[in-house]
Amino acid sequence: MKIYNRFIVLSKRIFSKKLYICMLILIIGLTTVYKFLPERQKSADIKVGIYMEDNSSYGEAFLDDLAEANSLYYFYTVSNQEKLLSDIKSGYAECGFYIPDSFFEAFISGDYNNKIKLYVIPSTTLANAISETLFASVISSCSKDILVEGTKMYNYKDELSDRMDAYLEGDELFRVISATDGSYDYKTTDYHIDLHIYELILLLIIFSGLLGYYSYVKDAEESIYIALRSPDRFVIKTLYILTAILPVTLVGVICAIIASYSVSVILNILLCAVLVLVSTIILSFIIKKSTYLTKVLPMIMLIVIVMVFVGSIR
Amino acid sequence: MSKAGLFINLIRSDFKRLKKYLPSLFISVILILTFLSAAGIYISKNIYKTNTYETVRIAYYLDEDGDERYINFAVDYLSTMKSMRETSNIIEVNSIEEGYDLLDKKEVLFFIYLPAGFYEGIMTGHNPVVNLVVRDNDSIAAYITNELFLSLGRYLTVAQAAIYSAIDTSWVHEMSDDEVARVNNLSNKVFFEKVAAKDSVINVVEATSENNYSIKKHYEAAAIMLSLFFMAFILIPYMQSRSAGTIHKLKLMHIGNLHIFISNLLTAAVSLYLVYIPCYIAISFLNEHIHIAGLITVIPAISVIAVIVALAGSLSKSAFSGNLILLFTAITIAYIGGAIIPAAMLPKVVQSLSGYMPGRYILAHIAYSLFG
Amino acid sequence: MFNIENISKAYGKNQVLSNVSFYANEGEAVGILGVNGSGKSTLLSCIVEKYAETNVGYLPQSNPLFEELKPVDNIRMWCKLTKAEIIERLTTPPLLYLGINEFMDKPVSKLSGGMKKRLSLATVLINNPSILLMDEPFAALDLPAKQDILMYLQNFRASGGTIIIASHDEEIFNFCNRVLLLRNGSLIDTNELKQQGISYVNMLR
Repeated sequence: MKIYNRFIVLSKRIFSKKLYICMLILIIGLTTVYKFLPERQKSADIKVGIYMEDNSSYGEAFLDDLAEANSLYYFYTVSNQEKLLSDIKSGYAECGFYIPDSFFEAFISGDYNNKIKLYVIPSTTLANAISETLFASVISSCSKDILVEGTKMYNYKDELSDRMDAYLEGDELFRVISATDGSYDYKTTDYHIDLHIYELILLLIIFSGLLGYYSYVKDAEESIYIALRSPDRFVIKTLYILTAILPVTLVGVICAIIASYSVSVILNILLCAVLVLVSTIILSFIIKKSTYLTKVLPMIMLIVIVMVFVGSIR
Repeated sequence: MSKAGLFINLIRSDFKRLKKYLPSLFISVILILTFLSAAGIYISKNIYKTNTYETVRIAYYLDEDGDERYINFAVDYLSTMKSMRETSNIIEVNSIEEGYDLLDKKEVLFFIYLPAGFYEGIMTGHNPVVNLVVRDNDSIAAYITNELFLSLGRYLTVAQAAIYSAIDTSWVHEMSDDEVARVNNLSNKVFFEKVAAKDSVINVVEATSENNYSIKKHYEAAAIMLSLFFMAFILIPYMQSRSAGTIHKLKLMHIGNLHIFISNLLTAAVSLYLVYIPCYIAISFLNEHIHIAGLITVIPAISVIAVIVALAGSLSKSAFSGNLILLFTAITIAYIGGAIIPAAMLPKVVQSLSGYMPGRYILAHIAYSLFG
Repeated sequence: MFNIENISKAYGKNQVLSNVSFYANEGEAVGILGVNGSGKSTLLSCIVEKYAETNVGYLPQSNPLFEELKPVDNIRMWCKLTKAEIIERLTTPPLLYLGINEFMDKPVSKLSGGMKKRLSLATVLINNPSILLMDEPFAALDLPAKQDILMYLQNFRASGGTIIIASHDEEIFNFCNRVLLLRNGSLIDTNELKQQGISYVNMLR
């Protein structure tokens, strides 16, 4: 009965702390937002950004050729380099191309110092394959001038152009016809923006355990338990930690059910609560003064936050 | 005693007290920086999840007759092309049956067989049929490889059109045999050279380094920024350790919360700067580059961090609550500022907020002071 | 004579002090007696604020010390003197009798309660106040420590200093020339009540 009374009193005490109430509101609030957020669709198509500084007729012909090629990849143009880089760095585009001013003129004349920049990030794996598709359009759009320049047949430039157009439109040339069946049907996936509710619940369980122990230490330093025997003090200490952990765990489990997390996630939350109870009790044998705990507690929280974050990246 | 004199005495006493905390500060910054740097290195290697496009195996059969040296040259050339190496693995088979057998066993995804006289056929315009067989035409890998063949085929198509146009034009204008041969060779050569020049003309650049620091440097700067913030775990108890009697007496002499905040701010700024110096030296040593002006240019960033720490220390009721408030404030500022996850990867809402929060600017200043 | 006039203070609707006035002569010790929460500390705080220009020294109940620093640095906090000048004053009368030089090299965190109180007193007396205001100076002190402080206060009074002490320690009132009772925001001279044979304890009831 005494233990039960103490449990009730300590539970009331923990609920009088504004910080604790804020924690519970945070979990409930985040779950509510998560539940009401609409599902989003994500397409798996492979996007490739192009920032074109070369506004010559070759540039226009190149973009037209790329559009007509009806490629597997979705090429799109952007108006500035920052947008291009931002799209690539955020993972929106697989990679991106920056085509500098007067690129085509330099390329035709054999000057390869004016280069195209192919922007990649560590996860880009198709950069070179995509660049073949792009480069085929580069060759195609300035093929006539390449021929004139290469053969020095400047006097027959128009004639050569007309002949090339005729051949390209005709059936006489070698062509690779698609081996695959029609255009690739990119699948879209429905997903919820991840609000990391599970990670937050784990963090707050760990924090509430430490908060409960801190409350015990502060009270013990006021000598209010000085008359009790050691086993009784141990029980009270455990009750402080338990009454701090239980409400957060309960709310966390309910929110995890609402957020449709799997059974294994819910069991993880319960396991975490048990582990936190045991580890905090072990900690209580090592750190016994509030002055040390004040300094150590934020460090522990920092380590836990970093480890949870790094774990979620994995 | 005058109010100004008492205020100066307060600042002097606070700096004297700070001396006792400096060893803890230096040890803590080394420990926290080591820990955060390790986390940063791990995150930088894993933040971009590698896309899983499997490489495909392609078998080819060359019908023996005459011109295999040109085909072998072409196959060797294809095998060395970066685009092919990125997506495919080419193997030669000894017969058509062997090729189909590999397809049935799912050991290859594509089988190509080139008929006899393929090269001569291309050059003379007979365009022999090349058989391109795919086992499964539903996978993204098949489409990627197919896309590659289409691109490579376009090179051949355009080159062929150009060569024929050049030869036709030279015939029409009754050029000599030598001239025609010269035009033929030149038009062959120029298109081959242009296609081969692809790698010379396209420069691969790491996007995370462009107009910015590399991801590694980003996390080095972020680790230092967060380490400085977390020095508050020692500074806030220091700020809160003035006795109630001292504060009561100060207030009676009109030295109020503002004066105490200013003293806290000055001590925080100086201690953070002192603690920053070994971090700066360590990073400069690791990167084999020292940016001397950085010791000055970092002052605004450190001042802002000191303001936040001093506010937490001055306004909170206890060291415990002050530390917690600082912990969550620092993490929030760092997150919104793009220190924890690169800004480009943050949700658009958060990205738009980052312009109004100090995190982005603190990080930029620290990065600039370290790396120039 | 130190005249304190018309001190009033309210915390919200709670009028703690109502036009409190009294005087203290040179070489006199005046005690302010009152129950917990009667406004003794508030009265002293108001006097310090109102008469800041007068040479008043104030010792609060909670020692105004920095635990990490040594005694001289703590004293330096509350005066304009250099370290050498402070040490000189501490080693010559009258401050010599506080005995600070016995523990000058120890940080405050390592001092006993009595030592801390003596040091706190030194932080006030270093400026040579003519009027000394003290709030519960004997709280948490053992008998020897109380005796040390009392002896010093006697010397201070004898040299013409004025002392005003807020307390509910009977030993202090035996030391004081006059004791005023703070009740319901007003001060009553306890002289008459004492003559009627009412003890200080009963005056508080």
